Amino acid sequence: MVFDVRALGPDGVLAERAGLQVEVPLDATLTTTVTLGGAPEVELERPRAGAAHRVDQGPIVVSLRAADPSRRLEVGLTANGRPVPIVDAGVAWVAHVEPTLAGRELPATLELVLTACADGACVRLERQVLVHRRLGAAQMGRANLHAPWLEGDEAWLGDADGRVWRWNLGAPETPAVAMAELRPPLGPIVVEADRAWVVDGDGALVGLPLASGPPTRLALPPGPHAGPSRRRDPGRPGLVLSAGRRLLAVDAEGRRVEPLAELGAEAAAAPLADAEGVVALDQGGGLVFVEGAAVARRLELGFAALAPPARIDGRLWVASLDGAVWRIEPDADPEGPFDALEAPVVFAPAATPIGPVFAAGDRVIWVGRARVEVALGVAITAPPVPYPGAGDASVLVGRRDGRLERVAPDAGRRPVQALPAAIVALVPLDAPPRVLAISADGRLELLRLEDP
Amino acid sequence: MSTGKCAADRQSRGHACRAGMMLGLCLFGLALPAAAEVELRLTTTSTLPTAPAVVRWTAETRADAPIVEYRWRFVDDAPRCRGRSCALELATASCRPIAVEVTTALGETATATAESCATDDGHHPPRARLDVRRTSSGWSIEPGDTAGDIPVVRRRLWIDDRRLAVAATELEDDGDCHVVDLLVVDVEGRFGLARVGLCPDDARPDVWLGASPRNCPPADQTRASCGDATDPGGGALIRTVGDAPLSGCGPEEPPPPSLARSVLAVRDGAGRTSWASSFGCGAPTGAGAHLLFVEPGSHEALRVGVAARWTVGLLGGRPGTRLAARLRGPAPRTAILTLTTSVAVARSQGTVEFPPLEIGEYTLELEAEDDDGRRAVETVPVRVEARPRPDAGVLDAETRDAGRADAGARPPDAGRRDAGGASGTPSRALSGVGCASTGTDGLAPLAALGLASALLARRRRRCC
Repeated sequence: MVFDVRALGPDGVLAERAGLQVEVPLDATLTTTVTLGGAPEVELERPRAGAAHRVDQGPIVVSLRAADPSRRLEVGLTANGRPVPIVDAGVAWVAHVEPTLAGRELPATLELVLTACADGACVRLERQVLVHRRLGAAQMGRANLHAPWLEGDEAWLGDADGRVWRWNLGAPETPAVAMAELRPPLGPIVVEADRAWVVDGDGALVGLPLASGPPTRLALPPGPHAGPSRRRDPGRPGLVLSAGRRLLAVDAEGRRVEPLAELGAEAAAAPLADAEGVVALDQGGGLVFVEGAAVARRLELGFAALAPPARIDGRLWVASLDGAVWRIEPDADPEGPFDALEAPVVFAPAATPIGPVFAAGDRVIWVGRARVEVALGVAITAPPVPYPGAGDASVLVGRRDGRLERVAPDAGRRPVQALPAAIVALVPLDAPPRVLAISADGRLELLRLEDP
Repeated sequence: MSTGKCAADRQSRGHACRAGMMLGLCLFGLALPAAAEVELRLTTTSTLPTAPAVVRWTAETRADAPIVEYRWRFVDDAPRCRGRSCALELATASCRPIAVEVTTALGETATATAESCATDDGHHPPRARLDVRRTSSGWSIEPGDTAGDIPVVRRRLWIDDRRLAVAATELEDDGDCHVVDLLVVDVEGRFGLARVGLCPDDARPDVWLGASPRNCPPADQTRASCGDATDPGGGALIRTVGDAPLSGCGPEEPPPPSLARSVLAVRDGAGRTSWASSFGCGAPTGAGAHLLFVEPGSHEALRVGVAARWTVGLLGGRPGTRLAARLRGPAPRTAILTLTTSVAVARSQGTVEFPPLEIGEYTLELEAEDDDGRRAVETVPVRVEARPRPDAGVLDAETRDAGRADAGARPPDAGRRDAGGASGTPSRALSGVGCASTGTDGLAPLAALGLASALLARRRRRCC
């Protein structure tokens, strides 16, 4: 039986006494068991709220101090439910939580619970510590909006200042290397054949050799430009990109440009290129499907779009800037939106076993077989990616406040890491599960994830 | 006009220092971050409509990166708009605050604030203002207001669930997120609202309180209280104050009988609390969008066994407003003494006559209603004290005044800056009152009630 914040006052009336919660046995009488002394006042000095800890920093120090040294306190500490020894110095208490717990590495989140009791009244203090599981970090200039390209163990990235970076994820302790400095803004980087390709601010397609040699430049028709994307059609290697309203194909050597199709408006994003062909989405909601060298289908959905389309389970998923989600079957035109997310959608969805998952505003929304929505309370700034190796519907998302979080459709949320600025891109890596996280200030972190 | 809001307000947090500007009367707010990567403008096509009006607000952004979120703040009407597809059409009467925060895919944010205002019966409403400054220990809050066409006569200031005196206030940064509201009302029931959220950082729970379909539906319709709370840390939240759901809306209920403030507080696992507030009311079903308020004013304690008369202000409503009064008490008895007093209602005041009462603490419940469905409810503590000693000449004079049918007790000091006692703390006996405490600063608004000159003459006779 719990009495909250009430005790008998001198006039025999139940009077409010803030902060006191007293547990009374059912067979006891109130007057004999209620302690009016109140819970002790203590300060949890370390770790601070929202603290983060790197695994290479040694033990996490927990320290508690009593406001009233004259009161004798009994202090207990648990870390993720396991008791931790605590050193009693009379008015201050200190504990060291080792980076390993019961012989295992600390999980990504450590829940510390301290209880301090005096005269039978207790206070409970909780702190959540994020345990950094960084395998390596590097720094480039301010991030741009494009996800890195992964080629083997290497990540290729562009920054907002026009530099192209290459970071060896196989040796993440080494710094990232600037490979070129071009006129910003840069488009996305893709690797095809033996070069990394990027459209620079001059409107040229630049090919940077992976090994050695001079870069190539191919002047493109006037922009704005979107892409390139790497064509996945085995019979047609090379790149596909858009310039203004034109969808163009570029050969694998970066020498020849051929028109593929005319778009209804400027492209919304880099074209989707996969084994089934090329799909370009324009900013007015027009879709052009190219198979081989010919336009196979056109759709006019009539909305403003910025998010790239994605093909999931054989269907095309497109979202408008106003949050309308369209599902397009291979052989039938949609009659209307599949869902409405009520927030701008600027990211492509990720594929999960239960269907596509979108990020919209501060919410992660699965829209496939069952509609599930999890609000995070903070805007999502990096598109969701499947949690590496999990095989379930959980995803990793990056947030405006720099936190990387695992979110599952059952509303389960697990913080993974905190970066110094908004996370703008994530690249999942399997076996072992890792993720490359990029923050807006150009920080690159390769993180080892908990085994799913 | 400019309202710099850097670091002061929960709506202004983020990576860049932001400033909200409001130009014209209620037209738009513009936020310019220090880095100038995001420019946000809050605009409406309705310059100053006649209430009741539905005002459409649009957030326009210029940014290098795509916008991932528009988050509207201070929007009490459900559903809370998180995205820009949400048509933000605000039911507007008098003046209410509005803010929008935009976030880009690079994590840049900007906030713009404005007031959504409407005239009523051809008159401009008053506007409330909360100037907040970050200090080393917390925040300094300076309430202020600007009259519309007629004076402001009622002011109320709240922080979380506490009502405070309307004066400059220091709020300590205790690690929680607080909400501050200021309400100002003119003689004819037009009102202005200002609200700020004060939060140390982004890690605190995000909580919202509102209603569906709107906070102030017509008085003969219903509404549901709605809440929404999210922990950015991903943990569970506990409701500590309020009864709105933490996700979704509760049952349909009649709107509050008068403009009522409600709060919702949630606590996360680390003991950090976030507050949200909301105003609800029943909108008039007839002409005009102004509301009805009962302004009890400050009154002296009654004397045991002596009949007395109080004059209370009626702000707004329409002619013929009915006023009922009930007296409960005295405490701590459980028996309730109820009486309906003799009430005379003029355009802007009513009179409550007290019979001779025994000593004790009472509660006076005042309820006003007009034919357009406007209602106002106010409770006032009433203290009945022992008779004064014979040598207390001033008290004798007050007692005589109180006993005379034509003099009445002190009329409502409706224009005075709220001392926090109007509905919370019984006033001091007159022996402790001098000229300084009833200075003329509070009298000007009373002119609108037609009471100032008589009161001023009486005070001069007694005190000066």
